Amino acid sequence: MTATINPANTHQLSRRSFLRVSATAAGGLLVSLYLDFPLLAQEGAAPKARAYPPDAFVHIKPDGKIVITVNRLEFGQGVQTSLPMVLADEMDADWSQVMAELAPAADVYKDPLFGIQMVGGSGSIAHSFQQYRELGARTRAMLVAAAAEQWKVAPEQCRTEASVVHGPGGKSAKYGELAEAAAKQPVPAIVKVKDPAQFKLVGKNMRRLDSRAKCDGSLKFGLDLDLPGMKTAVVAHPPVFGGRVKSIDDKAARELAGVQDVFEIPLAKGAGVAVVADKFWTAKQARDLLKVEWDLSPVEPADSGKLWTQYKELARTAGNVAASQGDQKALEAIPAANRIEAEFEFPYLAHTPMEPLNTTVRFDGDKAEVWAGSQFQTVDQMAVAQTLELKPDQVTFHTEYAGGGFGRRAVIDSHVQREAAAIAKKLRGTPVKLIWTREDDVQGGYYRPMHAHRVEIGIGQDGTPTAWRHVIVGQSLVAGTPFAPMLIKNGVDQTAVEGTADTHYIIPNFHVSAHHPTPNVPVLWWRSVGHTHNAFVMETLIDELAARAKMNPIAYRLKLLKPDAGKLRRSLALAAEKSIAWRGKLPKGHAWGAACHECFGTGVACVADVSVENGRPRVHRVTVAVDCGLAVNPLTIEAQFQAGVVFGLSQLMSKGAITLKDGRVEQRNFDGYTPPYMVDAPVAVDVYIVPSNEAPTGCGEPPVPVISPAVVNALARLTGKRYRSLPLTAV
Amino acid sequence: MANDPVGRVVQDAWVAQDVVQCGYCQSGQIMSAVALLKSTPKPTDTNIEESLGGNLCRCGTYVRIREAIKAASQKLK
Repeated sequence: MTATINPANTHQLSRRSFLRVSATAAGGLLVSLYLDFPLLAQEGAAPKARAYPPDAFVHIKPDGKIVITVNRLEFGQGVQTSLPMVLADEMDADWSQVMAELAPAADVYKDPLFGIQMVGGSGSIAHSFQQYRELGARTRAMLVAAAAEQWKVAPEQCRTEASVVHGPGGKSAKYGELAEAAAKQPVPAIVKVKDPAQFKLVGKNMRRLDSRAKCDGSLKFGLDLDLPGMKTAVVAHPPVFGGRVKSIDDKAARELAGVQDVFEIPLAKGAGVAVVADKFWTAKQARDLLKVEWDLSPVEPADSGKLWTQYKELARTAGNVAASQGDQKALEAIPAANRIEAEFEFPYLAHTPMEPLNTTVRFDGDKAEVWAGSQFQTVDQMAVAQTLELKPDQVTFHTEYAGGGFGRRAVIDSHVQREAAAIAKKLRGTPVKLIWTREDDVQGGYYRPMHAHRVEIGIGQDGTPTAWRHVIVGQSLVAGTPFAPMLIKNGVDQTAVEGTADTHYIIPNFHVSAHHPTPNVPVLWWRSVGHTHNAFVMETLIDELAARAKMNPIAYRLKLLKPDAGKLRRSLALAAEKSIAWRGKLPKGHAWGAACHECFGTGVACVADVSVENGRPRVHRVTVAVDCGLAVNPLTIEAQFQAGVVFGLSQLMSKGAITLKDGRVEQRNFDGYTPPYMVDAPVAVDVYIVPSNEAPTGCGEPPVPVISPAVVNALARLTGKRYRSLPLTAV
Repeated sequence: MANDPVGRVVQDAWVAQDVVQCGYCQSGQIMSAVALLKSTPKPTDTNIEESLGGNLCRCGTYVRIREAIKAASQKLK
């Protein structure tokens, strides 16, 4: 397997030139996507026939190289390999000739289900698998039609393999030779896709197309962008969210050689001061020299300590109903000795992707150009257009490779892009790159919201929970935004209760409600969103119930899961089977802990081997089993789980919290907010995939929720303590 | 790095093990791994943790980083 993306070609083939080339169709085949989305039908929504504007997903060059356009941001999850695999498989392409390219913002590249161009909800493969299959099948049909026409034979007499059409009498033609003629063929409305048994690439371990370029440093991220005459900007943000500028003393800052301008800009909330210079370090130094007097009078100074008091108080009262079945009073009938009362605390969490947030904008009066590693192209493009008083189609939006994101680049108010556009507006004609430093990001808000949970459980004679009353307190991610109608039901933000309200466990009397306070802290989805805290609560409590029932925690879960929880049952059974050998011979001082959770349609079970070293959990080995339907690229799925559990362990880090004191964020950088380093990560993670031909479901977020509960469940066996307050400051 | 005999082997091991995800930290991880293998051709897990302990990978690719270093060590033997 020698397929690698050629970094030089990728970058020479800029989005603009690619589209221009495509528009002329010279020497290449274009396939327009339109019509049927069977997935929509599967989801129960009315299938929407939609005639997409002609645009390119596949570009076959005369030399046989095939460029496949990926309608998603690539930021680690491997989609720019997996989606081309799907398309290339259906078109019988020679994989060694396939290259991938990230799509710019355009209508045709919107997520078929979400209706905007985005990466989120672990939907890349789940939503675009069928789309890319059909694109590949259409492309193949057009190539075959072109060959059949030349040879004056019926298309049915031709077959395809490794970028070659073979016809009767030993005739053959390479895709590269057929591309121009194929482009003139009508796009078939209906195509037949392969039976999974015929897949040649899908289901195989395929290495990433972007690997070499990321290993030799040639791949350019958004932050690496360098344009002629480009300036760099940083912004001084108010010390309390939403603060305003009272006065600016920029004398010292302006005296610094290379500083071009200093001016106030509006922020998503409040105002800030932009510093524009010839390069980053100059801008950063100049910002340090600014003396800004802030007006903080209209803003509430959020304070973690006070918020906990408020949240815990709220958790003692019922909120808006998220789930309700059985008798709400059943709990009272159960004697106190057979009840568990538990309070949980989850702090604010920052995403801290490795590549600092950035966006480059050039404003030319009647048009603009944007370069950003964005999970939300449609939203960010609209925000730039609005800031610059343009229409979205006047804003050319390039999707840049991003160094991580985890939700941080899918921001409803597009605050980074709005800031960049506001600066570019003043610098008309000059490209300007806005950089948020690590400190800006750690202190800048848009965190996983803090949450308090209060749970009261009544235990029946057989040790199973018969009554469950659960109150969740935390900010809504979407209240007051265009996402609210979709995600808020009965006053409950579904992202706050997901993983609890829709539990797969049998609990006859089950009542979940939620409060959404509104402290002055911007919040955002953090990889796996509400499942980060809900899975922790559910899976630690279920474990505690298993311990009280003196049952094996895996057997207890299998007993308690609903009969139709197939993905969780299969994952748990597989994880149990694959870990049984090592669980049976754990060294002294080690214990194993288990957890399972289903989210984004994917079932996951995990078993962790844990000891305590220097007062911290040491995770030696993790066995993970996953049921994600058809596994498109098992090698990437394994990677997502091996590494995603490390991301999940962020929650347990002793410095794994963002806290506020009198409105100010108390952490500045990785010294105060510390994600897992190698020593904090499992030494080995064994990943097993349940064989399946069901529709594929996501694997970006499902690795995250299971690991923290599995680890603290193991710790509970070692220490006898239950851990309900994160981060894990003491074991 | 590709012109360095150890560097090339390490880069190839990284590709073979499909280590990268977002890729942003990997140039630094590879440099640390090359330095480690030059001083300690047969590193233990502890050696690896000590040498790469300060290189943060937010994607969390540490398991495959370990595997790639061990594979490169075998190759260099």
